[in-house]
Amino acid sequence: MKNKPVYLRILTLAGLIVALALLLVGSLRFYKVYETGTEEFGILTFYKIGEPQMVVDSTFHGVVRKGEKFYSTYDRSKPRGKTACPT
Amino acid sequence: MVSKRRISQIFSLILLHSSWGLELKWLCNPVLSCHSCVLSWFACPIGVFVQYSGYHLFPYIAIGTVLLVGLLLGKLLCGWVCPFGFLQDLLYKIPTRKFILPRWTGNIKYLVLIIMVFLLPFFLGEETMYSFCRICPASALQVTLPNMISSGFQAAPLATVVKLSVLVVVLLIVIFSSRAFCKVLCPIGALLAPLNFLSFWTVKLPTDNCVPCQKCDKACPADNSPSKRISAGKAPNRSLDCVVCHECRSVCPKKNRKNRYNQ
Repeated sequence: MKNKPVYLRILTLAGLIVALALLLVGSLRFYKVYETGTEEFGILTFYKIGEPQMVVDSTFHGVVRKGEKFYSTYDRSKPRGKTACPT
Repeated sequence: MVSKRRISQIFSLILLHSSWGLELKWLCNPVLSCHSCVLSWFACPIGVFVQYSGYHLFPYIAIGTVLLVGLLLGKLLCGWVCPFGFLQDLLYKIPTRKFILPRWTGNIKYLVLIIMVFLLPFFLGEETMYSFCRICPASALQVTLPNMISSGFQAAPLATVVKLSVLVVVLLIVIFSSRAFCKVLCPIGALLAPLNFLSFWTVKLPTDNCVPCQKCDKACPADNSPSKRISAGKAPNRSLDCVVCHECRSVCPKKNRKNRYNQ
């Protein structure tokens, strides 16, 4: 069986580096997610959540985007059980 | 005798849907298994991409995970782990007339990936009715159908009817054409396909001993003609549509013969 050509090996290595870099950057990213219903007095409270939590929230529409801001669809101060995505 | 691949598929089906409390849904598992299923451990990368496209965010961890797994294993998970692939393999065993889909249909999944996973959610929002999640047959089977059963088959909205119709059509077609969903519609397959050429994982066969018996072509569930690559001295999994099931290796009469490339 022929070995992989050199350029493909270089591409594979570069891909691995990119994958690891993406995982590293992702683990360091944070997002501001505002609570809904707190804008009554012009004060918006927000949580800073990491990328892993954002991925979890994305699995059940836990965050919605309105304009340039993200809003939580549930009360983050309370423990959350298993939740299914409405799709 | 049950093959190793079948055992792997059965275990994966059970293990991937055994989460009675704990979840690891920050981690994407690149197989078609809906994360809305309350028993699922991991997130579906397609669902995450749809949501992130709607959020106008770049999914670093999801893409990093899919890229890492793809570069290490290629589409090995498609052939050995994916529950929906397992279901297709089982349904194909029903004795009927079989047919092979035209090659060009394999390009449709790339359009599905670009349009229904990235573009439409980006422009229409993460809750758009036109995203892939709204027609995903795995989601229909794991989430929509059980929800309908538990609610006593009450009047379903149009979106639910469409989703269940897609499921029925897909399940019917895969009885007649092996892994038809994987070939034509699966966006995870579309994402992982180019990585088959780069992955470390190689299906090893003694290519210079090949006699063109074409047993591998007949055994291939992706109808991928592995004999063409083997007779050219290439690994059979270096192909966009190969699901790295190793069936070509299992049936090869020459697989135990050493050649000057095998040690």
